Amino acid sequence: MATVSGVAKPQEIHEITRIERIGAHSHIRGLGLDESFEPRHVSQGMVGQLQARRGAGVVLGMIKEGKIAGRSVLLAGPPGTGKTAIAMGLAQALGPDTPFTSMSGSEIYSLEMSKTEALTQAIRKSIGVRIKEESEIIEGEVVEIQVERPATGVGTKVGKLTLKSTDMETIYDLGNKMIEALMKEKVQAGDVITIDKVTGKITRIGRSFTRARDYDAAGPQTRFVQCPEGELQKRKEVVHTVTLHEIDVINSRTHGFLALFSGDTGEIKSEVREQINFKVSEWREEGKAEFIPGVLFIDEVHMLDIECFSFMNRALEDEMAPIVIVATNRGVTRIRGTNYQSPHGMPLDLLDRMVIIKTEPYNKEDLKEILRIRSEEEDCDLEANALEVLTRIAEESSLRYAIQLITTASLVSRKRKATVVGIEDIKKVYSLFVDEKRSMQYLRELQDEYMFHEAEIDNEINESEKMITE
Amino acid sequence: MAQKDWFSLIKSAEKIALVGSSTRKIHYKFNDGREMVEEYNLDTGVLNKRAWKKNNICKNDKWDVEVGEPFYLNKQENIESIGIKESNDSPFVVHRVTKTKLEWRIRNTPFPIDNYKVSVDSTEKCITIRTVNKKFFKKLPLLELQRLNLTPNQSSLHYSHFMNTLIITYDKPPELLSFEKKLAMELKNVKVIDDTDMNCKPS
Repeated sequence: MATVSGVAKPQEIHEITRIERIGAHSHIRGLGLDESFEPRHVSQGMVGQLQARRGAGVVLGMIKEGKIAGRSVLLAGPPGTGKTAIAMGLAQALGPDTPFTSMSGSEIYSLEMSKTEALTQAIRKSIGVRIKEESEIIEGEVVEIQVERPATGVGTKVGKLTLKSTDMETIYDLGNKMIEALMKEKVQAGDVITIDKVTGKITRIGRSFTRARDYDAAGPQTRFVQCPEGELQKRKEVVHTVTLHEIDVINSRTHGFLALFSGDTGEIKSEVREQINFKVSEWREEGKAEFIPGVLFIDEVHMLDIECFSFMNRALEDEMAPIVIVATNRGVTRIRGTNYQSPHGMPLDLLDRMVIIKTEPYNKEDLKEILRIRSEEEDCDLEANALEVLTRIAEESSLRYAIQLITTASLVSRKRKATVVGIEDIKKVYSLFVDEKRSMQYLRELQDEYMFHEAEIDNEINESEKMITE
Repeated sequence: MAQKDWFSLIKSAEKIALVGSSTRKIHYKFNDGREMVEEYNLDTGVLNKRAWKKNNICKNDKWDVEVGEPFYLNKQENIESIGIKESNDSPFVVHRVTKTKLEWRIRNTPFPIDNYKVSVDSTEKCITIRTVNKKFFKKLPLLELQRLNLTPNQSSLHYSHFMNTLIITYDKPPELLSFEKKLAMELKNVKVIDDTDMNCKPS
């Protein structure tokens, strides 16, 4: 091992536990606004869309003020014009303390719970409550985690966690879900952790000083802390920030808080919710709790059906409702669950309650800037004329297609041992991967040679007939 | 906890008593939403058990036992819903009250007696147990003394070790004894509900 690490170049040392994958919107770090909510043309990963971003900035101000409940904002625009990016930027700008729930419109269709239950849970996930209360906390340095799996591979795991402070040492038995939570947090021997006994939340504070010499290459994020003193279990006045949904789950007696880890919460009775609403507002009056209204973002909102829309109409009127941001790329289309046509696939009465932010297709300069940012994010060096070609591709087919070509082209360029991506790499991948327009054209020319071609047409006719008879 | 005036707190609480065959249970409901249950032995008048329930939002209805044996739960079932708990062979404390002494029994403490250092912390009003081998550490709050604002002293403290159990006793100071007498007088007036007749008339 030592020889291997000696050969490796220093920049190749990554902290193994924290490799982050690059997602479609991982370059976005905020809305790119200045102090007076004026958008800067290129900032925090956002490019162009000045009007929409200014609108989002005003919404941001409204959320931060936190006074107005149940407003909703519709982000409408053609595909690939940055609707999701604006929502993500808004989430980033709000900071980690404000609950931001992001879901896709199709997520509510589940066999385990009704649509309205899924929506209610999403709404309640978007409202935070900051509670100050005495809680039991286990704080200590991890000596050992032992997890025994049964030899057959099925059945419950048995876990033991040994924690110590400077004065004592205790062995804890772990439940199955706590084991999973510890694994997810990647807790290992030498870490100083706290476990909130009430909510089951695990926090890694850092690594113990006594373990500082275990590895000579520690990641930049590693924080070294002192091993705690005194008793492992402490009663502490802590400030939790929990969402209403989490309180619901903790109090729906059949599951307990561990349902939060697995997500199998099932339906929560409305009585429980009513009780919690009552209790929380009581606590607010006493000054023990504080509401943090957050944001519920529903992407592809046209996938919701008429029941959901009418439910939302009602839900938005509640004073505990969050700010709802929805996004759609549809124009005038059928509302799901009805035969009526409506703008954005949403009923007019709900649209009427919304403020609509429009995103527009990017112009050439913006496209170029976005492609440049993405190529930076994906760690690819593009030649100036290669970027030019990509921009043209983005203009002619789509921005998403052009973005797809960045990493593929860089892989091709690496094959020929070049350090920068040139025009020929772009050309190569452009011929290798067909974009949607060319694919369509190709299919039109050659459709007779594909299977099920005629059958499909028949099906379509059948289906449309069915619709008419219905 | 409001240590300021324990007696007036008890006086102001909503109280209900329940008399069983050998015990008398008293339920207190305080203004801040907390609940307390006490169980007195009818023959000796000694407190057998005292448990608290807090008005917390994130907590299920669980009683915290201050005096007496803890409520035992079905262990196998509970580890899944609690998630984490101390293993069965780790030390645990049971606090008991006798006529003249406050007593703590710390079970599952296998180390010999010279491993323990027990001392009174008069500023924090608690008993501190340290171990030489750094395996166990505990601060036992002297709640009874804290409530009356009494300062503990080392000379009242005794401890012994027997059958894997560390037994710590603290002699009740005279102020506490006289307070308990006063309290017993006060609690005599609590309304007793008859639990044989639960308003349930089988037809």
